[in-house]
Amino acid sequence: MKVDTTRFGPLDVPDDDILVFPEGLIGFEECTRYAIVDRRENRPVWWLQSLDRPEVAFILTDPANVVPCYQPEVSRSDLEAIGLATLDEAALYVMLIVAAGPKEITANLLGPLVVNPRDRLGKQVVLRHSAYSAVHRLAQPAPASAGDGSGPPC
Amino acid sequence: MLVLDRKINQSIMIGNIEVVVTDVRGDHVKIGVQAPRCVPVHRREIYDVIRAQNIRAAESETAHLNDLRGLLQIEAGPGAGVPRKSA
Repeated sequence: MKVDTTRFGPLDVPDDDILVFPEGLIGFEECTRYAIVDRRENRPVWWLQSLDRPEVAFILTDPANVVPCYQPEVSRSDLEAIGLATLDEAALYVMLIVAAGPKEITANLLGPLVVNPRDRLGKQVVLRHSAYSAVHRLAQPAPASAGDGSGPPC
Repeated sequence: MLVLDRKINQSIMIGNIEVVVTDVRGDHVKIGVQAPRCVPVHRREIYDVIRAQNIRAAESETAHLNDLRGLLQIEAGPGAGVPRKSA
């Protein structure tokens, strides 16, 4: 399908590349169809562009880029909602919020996006009883001298 | 808004969802929810935080994207990649 987007101009998204979030995203329940915009210069982040509202796009990244050992407890019913039996089958993304400036970049670790890559179905999951924050501030990189092998604990 | 009087262990039905008052102590009320597994049940404030973050996320601009790279703990390589149907 062809869509005009605010950030990327016209996009031609093959039907097989459309990602469906049947419940939409929280606060964006009417936006159920998305495309992942993968721009080499933006890696390791991708844009999740709404195909329903041209101005709506979210910045996603692999949670491993934010915290080393992200282990969300996703309930079975959340997995079943997108046709999965285990989290191992899923692709996990977290949203980045790039607001006023580089010091204000946060990641939403409490509401990750879980995607069934086979059927291209997704769901924003709200973790229960979780210590992960919805407003996780991205830490400044450690100084280069910190390469002593003692990485952050899992 | 419909307001109903309930005592401890009394409940209301919302469709096929049962909401039970299990305990009341001072201004603390314990509520049990019996709902089909497909119905998400969350504390309102957690839902609100995620909703607010989503709205802010949707307003993200490209201007600071280059600053991201230094902040992310990047593993060089393909990473999680983009889900592809052909996978």
